[in-house]
Amino acid sequence: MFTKLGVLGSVMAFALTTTTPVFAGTAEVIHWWTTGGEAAALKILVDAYQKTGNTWKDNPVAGGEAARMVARTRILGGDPPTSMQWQVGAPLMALAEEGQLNDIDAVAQDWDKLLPKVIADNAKYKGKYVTAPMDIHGHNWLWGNQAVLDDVGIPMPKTWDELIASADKIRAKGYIPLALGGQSWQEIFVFESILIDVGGRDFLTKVTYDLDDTALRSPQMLKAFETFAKVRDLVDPGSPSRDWNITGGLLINGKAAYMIMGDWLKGEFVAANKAPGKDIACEVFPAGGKTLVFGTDAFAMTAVKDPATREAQLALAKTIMDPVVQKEFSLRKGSIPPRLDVDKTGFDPCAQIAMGEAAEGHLFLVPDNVTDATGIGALVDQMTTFLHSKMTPQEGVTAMADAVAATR
Amino acid sequence: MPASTQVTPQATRSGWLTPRRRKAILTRGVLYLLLVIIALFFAGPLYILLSTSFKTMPEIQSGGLMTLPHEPTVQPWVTAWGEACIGITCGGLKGYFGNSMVMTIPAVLISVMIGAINGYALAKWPFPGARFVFAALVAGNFVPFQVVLAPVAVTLRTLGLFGSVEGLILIHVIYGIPITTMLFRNFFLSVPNDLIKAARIDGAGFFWIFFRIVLPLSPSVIVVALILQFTGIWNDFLFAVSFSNPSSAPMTVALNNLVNSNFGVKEYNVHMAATVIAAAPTLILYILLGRYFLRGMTAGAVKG
Amino acid sequence: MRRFLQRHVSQVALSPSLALIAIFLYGFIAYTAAVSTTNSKAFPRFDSFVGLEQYWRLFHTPRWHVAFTNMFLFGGLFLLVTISLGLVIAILIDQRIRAESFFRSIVMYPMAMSFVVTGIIWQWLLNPTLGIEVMVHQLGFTSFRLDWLTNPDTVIWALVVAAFWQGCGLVMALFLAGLRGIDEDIWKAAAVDGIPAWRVYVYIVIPMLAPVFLTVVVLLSLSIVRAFDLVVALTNGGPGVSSDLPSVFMFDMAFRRTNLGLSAASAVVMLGTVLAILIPYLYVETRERA
Repeated sequence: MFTKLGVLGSVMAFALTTTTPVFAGTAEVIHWWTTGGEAAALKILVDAYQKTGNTWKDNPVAGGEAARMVARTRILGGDPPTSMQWQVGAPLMALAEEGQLNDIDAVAQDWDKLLPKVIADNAKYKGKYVTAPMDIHGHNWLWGNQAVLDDVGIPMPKTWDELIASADKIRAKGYIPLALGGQSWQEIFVFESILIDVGGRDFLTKVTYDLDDTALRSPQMLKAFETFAKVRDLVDPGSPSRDWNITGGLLINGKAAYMIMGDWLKGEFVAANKAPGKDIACEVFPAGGKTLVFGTDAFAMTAVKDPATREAQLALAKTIMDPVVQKEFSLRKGSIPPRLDVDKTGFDPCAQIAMGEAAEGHLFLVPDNVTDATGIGALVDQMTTFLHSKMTPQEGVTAMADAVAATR
Repeated sequence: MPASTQVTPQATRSGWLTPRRRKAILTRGVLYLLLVIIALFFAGPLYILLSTSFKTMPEIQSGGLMTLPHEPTVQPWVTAWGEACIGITCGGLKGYFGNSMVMTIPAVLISVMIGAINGYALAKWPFPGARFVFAALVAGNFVPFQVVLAPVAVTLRTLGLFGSVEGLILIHVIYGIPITTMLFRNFFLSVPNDLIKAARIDGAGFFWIFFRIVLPLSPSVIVVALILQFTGIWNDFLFAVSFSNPSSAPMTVALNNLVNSNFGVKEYNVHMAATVIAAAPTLILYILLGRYFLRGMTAGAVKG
Repeated sequence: MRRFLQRHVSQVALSPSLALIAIFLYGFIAYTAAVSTTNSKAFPRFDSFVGLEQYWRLFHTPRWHVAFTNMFLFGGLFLLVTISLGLVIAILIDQRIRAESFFRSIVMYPMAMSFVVTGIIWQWLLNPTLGIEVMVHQLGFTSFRLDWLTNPDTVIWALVVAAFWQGCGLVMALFLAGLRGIDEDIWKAAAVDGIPAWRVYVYIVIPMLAPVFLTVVVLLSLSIVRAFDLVVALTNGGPGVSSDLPSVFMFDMAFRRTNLGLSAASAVVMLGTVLAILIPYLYVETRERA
C-alpha cells in the first residue's frame, strides 16, 4: 500500500514540477499497445503527458506491421501523426532519410549520458535524436517452471548442452522439455541463443548483423544447426504454428519444463499468479553469454511543422524520458527502462537481472533493427523452414547461406 | 415401416406405399440427412464461438473446447459492447457502429447501383469493344490492394479527401465497381433479349427499360450484390485502417485492435463476443434479404 | 448531340466507371510495375532505378517459390471444393425444403465473421493437442490423426477447409440466385417428358448457369489472390513457411521487411500469372454471348 501511495506521490510531484508550456498542443500518437497490460502501462505515459497541458490523441493499431503500415500511409497522405511507435536503428534511419522526422535535441541534451550507448546511437540521425525510447524488452530469456524442475531434480541449465542433456530426465517424468510456439518470430529467439552458445557475441554479430558469408558457412554454423536440429525433439507435436501465449500456458501449468521467450511472457505469469524469479525461474540464455538480445519501443517524431504541435511533440519526448514515467511504465509492462539511472526498487528479480546486463553493456540490439530487413528476413525464413523439415544440418547451413546471398 | 406411413395423408389413406412414393420419401430423407450434415459442419465453429463467449477466462484456460459453459456469464458481451479497452479508451465497440454505418451504407448503395447500370449496359446494349471493356474490368481487379495503398493515399491527398469518410466511400465504390458490374452483367445475360427488343421498338429508352423491365426481373441478383458489397465493405480492414482517422474509424479497426494484438493476455471470451457483435448487422442483413431469394418472375409474367 | 447520346447511351453510362478504373486499377498497376524496377525501401522512390534486379532477387528467394506454388495448390483445391460443394448445397437448398432460411443462413454466416477470430477457432479445432483429434480419441478411436495444421505437407488442406467454410456461403448464394433465375417452364417440360432430375441438372440447368460460374470463378480467384487473414490467423504461414501465399509474402516484404521494390515485383509476377490463366478463360466465356 505504501509503495502504491509512494508511486502516486512521485507521479504527482512530477506533474507539479513540470511547467506548463506556452503552447498547449495535441499529440496524435500511433502505437500498437492494445492489450490490458500494455494499456495500463500506456496510461502512465498518457496521464503524465496530459499533465503537461498537452492533449494525447490516442490512435492504437494492433500489430506492429499494421501500425507501421498505417503510419506510412498517413505520411504519404500528407497527414502524419505527431508521433508514432517505430523501431530504432535501420527502420528509423530509412524514415529520417526521407525527411519525415523532426529532431528533438531541444529536450535531449543529456540523453547521451542517460541511455545505453547502443540505444543512443540507434536513436539518432546525423547526430540528432529523432525518437524517444520508452522501454527495453529482452528476447533470449530461458524460463523454467520451478515445480517441474524440482520434480525432475535438475537445476536451470547454463548452456544448450546442459539443456539438451536434461531432456531425457524431463521426458521420463512425463513433461515436455521445451515449450515452443512454432512461428518464425518465436523460433528466432531459440536460434539466436544457440548462435551465442556456439560462438558468443562475436559470432552472433557476424551472422545476424553482417550476414557474413564466411560465418554463415563456417563449422560453427554447422554446429549451431546440429544443436538446432535437436530442438525438433524437445518440443511436443502441437508446437507448429502455435501462438506464444498458448505455448506459455504449457510452461505455466507445469506441462513443460522450459520455454525461451521475451520478457513480455511475465505478463502471463502474473495473470496466473506465478511470481517471476520464484515460481518461474529466469535466466538470460545461455548463461555467461554476455548478450541480452533486446528490442526497444520508441516513439519517432514526425516532421510536423505547426508550432503548437511541435511543442506538443517536444513535451512528449520529455515525458517519455522522465525517470518516474520510465519506471512506472516498465513495472506495468514487464520491461526495463532504457534510462540506466532509474531506481531499481520494486522490479522483479528477472528485471533486476536484465538491468544488470544493461548496465554491464551486454545489450545486443535485435538484428531486424540493424541489418537489411530483406537479408535477415531470408535468414529467418530458412531457419524456420529447417526446423519444420527433415533437412540435415549441412543442408540447412547451405540453404540459409544461399538464400541470404541472393538478397545482396 | 410404421413411421413412414404417417408422413402424408395420402399414404395413410392408401394403406400401403406405392414404390414411387417410397422412393420419394427415401429421397427426401437423404436430402434432409445431407442438409443436417452440412449444417453441422458450418455450425460447429459457431457453437465454439458462442459457448466460449459465455465462459469465464479461468474456465477457458482449464476446460475443454467443446464443453458448454459451467457458469455461463454475459460479462464478455457487456465488456465487448461497452467496456473493453482499446488503447487507453475503454468504451468497447459501441462507439464505432455509427462510423461503420455512415461509411458502409452509401458505399454499398452507390456501388451496387453503378454496377447494375454498367452490367446492364454491357449485357443488353452491347457495342463494339464491349467484350474487351468487360475483360479489362475483371482483369484489372486482380491488383493486390496492399500494393496500391501508397498511390491511393497520394491520390486522396490530392483530392483533399485523405482521412475522411467521403474518401473511404469513394475508394470502396471504385474498387466495388468491377465486382458489381461483373455480377450484374453475367446475370442480365439470362434476361431474354426479346423483352428488351420489344420495348425498344415501342420507343422505350435505356433507363426506362432498366428500371421497368430489367430490375424487376432481378431480385435475387440485387440481393447477392447487396450481400456481397455489404459484407466486403463492412468487414474491410485494410482501407479502413489506412484511410480513416481515430474519430472516423469503423468497427473493423476497433475489432482488430481488440482481438489482434501480438502480446498480452488474450481474452478469448471477449474476442468471441466482439466478433459476433461486429458481424451482427451483416447477419441481420442476410436473414432480412434472404427472403428475396425469389424464383425470378418469369418472362411471361412481366409481359403480362 | 442528343442523337449521339441516344445512340451511344451505353458507352456514355459506362464512361465514368471506365475513367475511374483506368486510373485506380490500370494506373496503379503501372505504378506498381514502376516501383518494382526501383530499390524502394520504406517509401516509393523513383530515383533508385535498378532494372530487373528485384525480379532476379524474387526468383532466388526460396520462400517465394513456396508461396507461388501454394497459390496454385491452395487455389486449385479451393476452387474445386468450393464450386462443386457450393453448387451441390445450392441445389439441395433449392428443393423446396422446409426451413430453407435456416439452412441458407447457416451456410452463409461464416462470411460475415471476421476471420481474425474464427481463424483462432479453426486453429483450436485442427490442433492435434486441443481439438478434433482429442475429441475423437475420447470417443475411443485412439489411432485417429488430424495433424494437417502441424504437418508442412498437409497444412494446405487446413487452409482449404477453413477457406471453404468461409467462402462457400457466397458461392451457394450465387448459384441459388442463378437457379432461381431459371425459367420454371424447363422443369415442367422435363417432368412431362419424364426426364430424371439429375439429367435436367447436368444437361440443361448447369450449362445455363455458365455466366454464374464465371462470376464464381472470378470472385473465388479474387479471394485467393487476396487471402490474407486466412493465412495469418490460421497458420501464420507455418509450419516454417509451408503455408505462405503471395498476398502474405507481399505484405511481409512491404511492411515487415520494408522492401517495397521486392514487394511490387512479387505483385507484378502474381498479377501476370493470374491474368495469363484468366484472360483465355474470359475470352472463351464471353465469346458466344456478348
